[in-house]
Amino acid sequence: MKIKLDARTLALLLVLGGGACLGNVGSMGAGSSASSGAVAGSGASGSSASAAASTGNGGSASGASAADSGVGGAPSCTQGASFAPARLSLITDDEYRNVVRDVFGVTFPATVDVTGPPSASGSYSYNENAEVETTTVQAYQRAADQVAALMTSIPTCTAGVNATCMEQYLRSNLPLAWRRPVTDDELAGLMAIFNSGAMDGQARQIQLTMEAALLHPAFLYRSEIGTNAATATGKVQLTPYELASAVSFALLNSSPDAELWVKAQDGSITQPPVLAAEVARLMTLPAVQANLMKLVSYYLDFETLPFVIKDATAYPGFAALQGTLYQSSQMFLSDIMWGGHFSDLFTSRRMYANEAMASAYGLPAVSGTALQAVTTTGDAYGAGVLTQPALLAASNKNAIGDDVIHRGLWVYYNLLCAPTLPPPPANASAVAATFMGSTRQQSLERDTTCGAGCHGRFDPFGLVTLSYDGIGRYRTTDPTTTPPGGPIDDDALVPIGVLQANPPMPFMLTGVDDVAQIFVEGRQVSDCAADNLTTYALQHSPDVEGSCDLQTVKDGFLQSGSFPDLFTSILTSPAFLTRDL
Amino acid sequence: MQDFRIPRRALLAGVGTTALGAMLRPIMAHAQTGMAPQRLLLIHRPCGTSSLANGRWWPTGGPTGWTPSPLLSSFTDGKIASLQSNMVVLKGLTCPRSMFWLGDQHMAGFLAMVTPPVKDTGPQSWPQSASATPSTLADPNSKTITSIDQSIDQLFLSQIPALKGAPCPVPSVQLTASTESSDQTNDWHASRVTSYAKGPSGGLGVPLWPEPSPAVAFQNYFAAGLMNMTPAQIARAAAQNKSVLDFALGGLSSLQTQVPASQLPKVQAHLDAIRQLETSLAASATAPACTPPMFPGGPLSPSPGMFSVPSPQGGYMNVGALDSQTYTMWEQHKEIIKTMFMCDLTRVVSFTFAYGNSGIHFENGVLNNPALTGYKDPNGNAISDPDGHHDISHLQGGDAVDAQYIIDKYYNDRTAELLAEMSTTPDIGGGSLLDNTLVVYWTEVSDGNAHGAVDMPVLLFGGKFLNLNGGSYLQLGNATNNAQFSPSNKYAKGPPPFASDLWVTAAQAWGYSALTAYGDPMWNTGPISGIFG
Repeated sequence: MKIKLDARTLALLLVLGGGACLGNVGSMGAGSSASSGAVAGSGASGSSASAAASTGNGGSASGASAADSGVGGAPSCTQGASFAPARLSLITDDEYRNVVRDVFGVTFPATVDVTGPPSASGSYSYNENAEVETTTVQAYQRAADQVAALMTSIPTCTAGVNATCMEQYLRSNLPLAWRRPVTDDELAGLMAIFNSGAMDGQARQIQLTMEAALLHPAFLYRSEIGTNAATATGKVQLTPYELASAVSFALLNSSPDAELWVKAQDGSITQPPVLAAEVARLMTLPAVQANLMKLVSYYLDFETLPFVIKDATAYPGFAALQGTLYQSSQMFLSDIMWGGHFSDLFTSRRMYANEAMASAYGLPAVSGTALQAVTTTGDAYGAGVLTQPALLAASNKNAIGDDVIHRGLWVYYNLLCAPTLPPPPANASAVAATFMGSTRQQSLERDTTCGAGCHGRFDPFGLVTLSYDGIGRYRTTDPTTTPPGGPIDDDALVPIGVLQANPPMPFMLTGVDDVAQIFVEGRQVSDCAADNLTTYALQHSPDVEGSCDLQTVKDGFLQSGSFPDLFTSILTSPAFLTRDL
Repeated sequence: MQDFRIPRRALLAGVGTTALGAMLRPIMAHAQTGMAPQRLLLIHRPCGTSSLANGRWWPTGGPTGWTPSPLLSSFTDGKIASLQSNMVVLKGLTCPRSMFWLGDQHMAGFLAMVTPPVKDTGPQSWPQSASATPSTLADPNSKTITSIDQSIDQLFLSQIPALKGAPCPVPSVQLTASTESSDQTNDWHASRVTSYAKGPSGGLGVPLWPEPSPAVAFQNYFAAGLMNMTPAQIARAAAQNKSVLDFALGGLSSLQTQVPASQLPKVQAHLDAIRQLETSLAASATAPACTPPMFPGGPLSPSPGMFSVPSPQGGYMNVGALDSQTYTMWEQHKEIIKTMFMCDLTRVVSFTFAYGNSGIHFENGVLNNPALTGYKDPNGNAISDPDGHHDISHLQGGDAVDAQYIIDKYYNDRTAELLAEMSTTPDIGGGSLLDNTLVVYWTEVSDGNAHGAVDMPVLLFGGKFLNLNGGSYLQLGNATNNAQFSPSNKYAKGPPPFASDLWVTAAQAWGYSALTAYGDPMWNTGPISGIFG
């Protein structure tokens, strides 16, 4: 245990009139682990992420899950609970594209929708609760037609397509597409459909067969129901095929590869050592590493950067640098994911820049167009992801100026998993338009106007980034003061209930570097990352079930700080092998 | 230059190569709901009109029971169409742009009418296309201006579910009767293109170039064997499609016995969706075939017209009888549009007769067509000016004005032909094709010579599903203000309402209530009353 008596604490003492208890900054939350702790039903506030996923046609996880244990409270969990319920999940369009690519060798055109246009926001979405409508079926019909049209050859049909070679092809390939064995009856049904098109030619026969194969629920749903979910109680064990599929969708976003499939076929994948070995093998594959990088990039909202629009007058040249910033963020992330520690995310001074970016952002000079590693010094760019230009630009939603609100919200939800707040009232914009003064003054007025439980909970995390403009360029003066060019004031007070501390207390933050330090000293941000990435890997918020095994995963991540280890521990956890009923 | 065109063949691969299966889906779309489709058809004619001030365009009389003008008689006098009760004439509508902004005025008119109007940030308010340079940016007649976002037809398509259909195999169609309108030798698209897709990463709109060739359009939409099916073929295709759906039903029925209770609603919804499709499939099995249009000698493959070329004296000049086939191109596109609608292959079409700086020669080319006789001005004279349309629009004097009248009448007659045929074509879900289509007939400038932006001559047709107040002549805005902004006052910014208000009005009538403003707030004054009931 350590007590930190710095500027923040001193300021806090002033704020509290010297009478408040100092929080234990070094160990936010209560204790280190609840994996063997009390069983207290489901978590205290563990359902907000799943609520987001249960509306409309699917879910969208962008970090908006609540802390599993409630801020500042003791974690509670359910011993023996699974990470997810027994369920059918409609595959996503990305998964559809990947499976037909990996199983049928068909590259589904990027310009053609499967069921809908690609995301235009950069948020991670999944289909856990989506239901099929007639229009969805028709969209799948067209997608299947597209796949059939692009199947230029059937490998088993070397001398023209006929029933014999088509049946061979289906026997060998369809199980991987369906992620389970295909019964003889099902195969006979498909061949009957194939034969019904004989009068209309081979193209029609293939089209009908692929429509039937790809409209079948075995293809369209990720099945995690075990063998007797309709009658069982408690929980079910995933079948070997379901387990292999769950692993492969988490790691490859697609069907199992050949080696994993063998372990599903012989049933050995359900043996923990075999599962662990397979996960370890898969983790070395470039495709898996790329997919996991993408998940972490979603968690950090780097994926929103390509969709950000900045005013060309306010930020000339930003659009031209946008791709570079994104690439830079990915290289920064790659270093930490595959060779670093989670805490590096907030302390690393390594950045990647080319000449144009270095010039625009005042980074150590490099030449050429290729991105090169640079190490920052001094006051600027010293807080890892919190001072990555890509993140600062993406989280600043205001196209023409500072946006402490959304920068703050990004920290509040994505990094802290703090409790969900109500939406702003309808007149919020009108009221905000009456606020005058600098960015900081307006923020403080906003906090005062809307009262507790409102902007004051997240704006502070934006205020601490005032040394960075709307696209993430470091500055030493504030252009919004009167007259412009006053000193930057990036202190901010965070009220009780946002940052975990025992006992609960407000925090005075003194700039973004200070925030980064708090984040690496506690476990709230580490736990939140584990929570979010478990949600992405499962396409379900594990907070709903509140498994104590999730706490074990979090503890492991806190210790190792390793992203690969985090994913490994999720996929090899006992709670991953079962589904709750 | 980067080519942002969406590859139409890719979009249609599933149609063109899967004749039997795809053929039945458009009809299924109607049958599954028993409701008529809802459609949007935008028809553009170029270069405005010089007849606004001489009584040849605006009707006389009040909001109802008005007397059509000579030009509007195309739609009303019964020679081609009798659509007065199906149309709304708008007077006083302003094109939301400033005449002070640098850039070609025809392009500006295109952009301001059908894409989000931009904020007035001074002379360089228009966004610039990829080929822009510092010198084009400062050029008062710059051709590099472009759309800030997707066009209104694409926005509606993305936000109004009824326009997507089941969805339709072809989300939207862009056609033109002028090869010049598809000239992509540079990215000067703003007065050639009337539709823009949403840009990558939400950036500038991506031009959707119109297709001039009926042969290409025919091949894209009605690929060989797609629609000419015998009753036996239709029945067989229906049976095949049913067997596919039955196979999925079998899988779902099996799942019903395996899943936990929490997942049953999901399976049930899927079962219901497939059963609904099977019901519609049964109906479609006996439906008449959806027949592609027949063109003697096949669909036309027009030769590219001759474009404007640099003139030795500076500037540009039109060369040759550009697009002498434009009438035949139109006739075939008209049939293609009708068929696309009849078969529910698409619900959103934007058509442009020609480029905003159209060089089409009417005297030497179009009106030589034997099918076109009697094109005379109100004084009984035939067109006598040898220049192209755009040049004519900038000539002064009685002959030039009369020549433009003849060209305007030509375009009105062609449009009236399509609308009349749509009005007598029953739609599968009830009503006529016209009843179930909101048609907006527009041009990019009001007075052609002045490049006017006020009193835009816009007509609306059809739209019964939106309760379009057919038979109305709506004189909008403040009459005094309108008078101040006469068409000859070319440097004026006009008074409200704006075209953007028209789109908001249509959106709200369509149930797209989230669209409360289109483009920059300065060009939005709210829905226009009186257009829809």
